[in-house]
Amino acid sequence: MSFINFKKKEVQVKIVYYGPGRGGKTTNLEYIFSNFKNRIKTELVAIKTQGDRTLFFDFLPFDIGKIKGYDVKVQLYTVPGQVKYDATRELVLRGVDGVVFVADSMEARRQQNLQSLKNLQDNLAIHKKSIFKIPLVLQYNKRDLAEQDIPLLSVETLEKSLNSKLKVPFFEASAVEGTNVVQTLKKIISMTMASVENQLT
Amino acid sequence: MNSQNDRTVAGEVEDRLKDLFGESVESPAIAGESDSPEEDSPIRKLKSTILSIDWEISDDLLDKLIKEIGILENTYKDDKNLLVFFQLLGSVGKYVKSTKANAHPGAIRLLNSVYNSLEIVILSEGITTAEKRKILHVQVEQFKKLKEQIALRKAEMAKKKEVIPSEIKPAIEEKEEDVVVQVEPEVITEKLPPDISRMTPQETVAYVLAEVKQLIRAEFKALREELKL
Amino acid sequence: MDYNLGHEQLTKIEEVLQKDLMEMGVHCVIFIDMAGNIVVNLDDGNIKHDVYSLAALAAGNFGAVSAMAQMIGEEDFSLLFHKGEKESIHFSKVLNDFLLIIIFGHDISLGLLRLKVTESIEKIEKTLKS
Repeated sequence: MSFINFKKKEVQVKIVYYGPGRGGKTTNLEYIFSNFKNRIKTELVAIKTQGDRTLFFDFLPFDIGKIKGYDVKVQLYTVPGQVKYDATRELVLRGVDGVVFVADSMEARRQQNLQSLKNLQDNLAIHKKSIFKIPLVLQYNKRDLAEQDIPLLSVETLEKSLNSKLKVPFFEASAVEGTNVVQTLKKIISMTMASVENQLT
Repeated sequence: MNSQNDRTVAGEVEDRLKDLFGESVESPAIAGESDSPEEDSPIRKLKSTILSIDWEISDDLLDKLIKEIGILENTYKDDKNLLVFFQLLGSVGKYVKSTKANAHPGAIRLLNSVYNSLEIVILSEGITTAEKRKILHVQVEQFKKLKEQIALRKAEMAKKKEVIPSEIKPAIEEKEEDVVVQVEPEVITEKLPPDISRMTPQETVAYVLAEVKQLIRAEFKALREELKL
Repeated sequence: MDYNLGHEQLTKIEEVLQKDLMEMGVHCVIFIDMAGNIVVNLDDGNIKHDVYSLAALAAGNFGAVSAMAQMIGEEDFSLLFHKGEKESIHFSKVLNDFLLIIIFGHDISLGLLRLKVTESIEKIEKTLKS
């Protein structure tokens, strides 16, 4: 849960980017970091394998300034997406306040999207959180691949398979190009802050 | 009222995010200090070396151990019981130094055990001489057990006809003159073999010391044979 | 990655780990790659934990600690060891691609284990480069 220091008037919120392996979670953070590092002024910590796959997590913390008199610090994390790192994902989800689910729009990855979303639900439950209640945004990533004639799932299909019950905000995106990366982030921060804000008053 | 609040918060969030994608600030300053006054007590240094050896076995540390034992033997040269403790520690230390990775695991355990007993004997106020001897005796017995285990292991290894590679010559030198047998009214008597109880106090002390000396000698002899290429 | 991991090498590595470490009395030896994949896994028959998750977390842990080391200007730490009440875990890097993880009880001295591990790693590295 969010960490509030009433004495120092500081709030820390944890947002985790979740999703199947190679879906674009790390790319989201890399885009944010490389395009805003002058303003963010912190480093992106990435613990990766030699094959450039996330091994533990990527971590990007930054301040967003004062909200209702509180200094708000946002911590972005990604989890490793490969199936074998489930124990690690569960660990990184500890204390999460908001989630961005980065789905892979490639048709070939349809099953992996579903498995990963189910995995998110299960791991949240371990931490006594419900996927239906936690601030959650869906990002349908890799929309740019359509230009390369790679078969993609339509947004309708993705909505139906992933969002029919959740009914959360979604964005079509291309993390590699930066399309809707910041918008996704802004949305999840707003939603997370809304859920935290009653603790600030 | 809540909805008004919501708008305020959401509004503020919106503004902040607009500015951010920018803002900036801070770096917390963390100060930390640790304080450990160093007492100059000899047994503190010995303890620190023993604890270090628990974490890392190196020639440096073992040399340090042997050196400190030498100093303590001198400091407590009038206390027969303590001398035996130091001799046990020194003997085990030298064994570990010469065998290193091949040392019997029980050797390090014994090192800790002997030290802990020594600490009790030295630091406990009002401990009687009889109690000291009892504690010492337990350690001597454990030393004997370790020696047996080492011999057993050696025999097993000989059966497997393994060659233990070693460039290390045992640095153990027995110095008879170092093993001083002094006469003291106090004796180590409890739980000793029956014939000892018939000895005079002085003879008993001499007997135990001689026994330890013999054990050490036999052990090093075995070691030297084992390490011959 | 510049190493040899054929059947022969695997057998040799297993032998080294069995003889040098398992026979010393440790409870479990896991030899993994830096991505958390298990290459060799030996135990004393009493292990009840999920070795695969342990391996993934161990790799992540080591990765995180290496990142910390570099942050403070170190290339790596020479000792990564977690002490438990009954069981402890020791990590060592083997070449730059593998990790040797040892789970052992309090009857084993860390100092002695470290000496043994250094020897074992030398042998394993030779095997991997052969």
